[in-house]
Amino acid sequence: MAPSQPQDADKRQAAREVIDILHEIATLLVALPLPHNTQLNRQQLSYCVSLIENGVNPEALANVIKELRAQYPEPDAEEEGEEET
Amino acid sequence: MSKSTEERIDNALWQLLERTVPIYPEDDDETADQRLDDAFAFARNAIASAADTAVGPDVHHAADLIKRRLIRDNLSPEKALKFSNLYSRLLSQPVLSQKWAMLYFLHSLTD
Repeated sequence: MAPSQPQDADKRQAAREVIDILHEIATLLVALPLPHNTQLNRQQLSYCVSLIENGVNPEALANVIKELRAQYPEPDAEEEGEEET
Repeated sequence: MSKSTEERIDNALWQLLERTVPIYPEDDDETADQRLDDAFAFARNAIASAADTAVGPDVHHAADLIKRRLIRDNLSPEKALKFSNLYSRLLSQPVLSQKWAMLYFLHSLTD
């Protein structure tokens, strides 16, 4: 039986819409005065959705991302820091 | 947790970290790979040992946390209104089951 393309396409469209909505919400929240580049892009966000939909603790995942960003700052953020001193 | 769920989590986690852990100009391949391996081990351990979230699965509570913050941290109510609109659109989305957890994640990530 050929896969039901229309249904798959609808599901993909719905998934894209969810990511768009979540990305807009993240953009609203990150607009607050926060350190450089804390905004997740859509791809990162979709992997976070996958992790959380599979039962990963949301607070733990957020803390992991914040910890990794603190430990490994983005290269351009690092250079900016050096120029200021 | 089933084996396939564990594999899906590991795969999504690895993909996320590849797009989150930076590679620096002075890195050689070995250093970059080691950094990613270390980050994966750290993340996997943190996720595995995370206790149940203190906040119960209540999507409205997670939304209230965000709305209150947007009102508190902005002069105009515009952002809070925009969030209310996005939130009602999110509630109508069938494909996302863990809505409360995603909102709570976004709140925790930016708080």
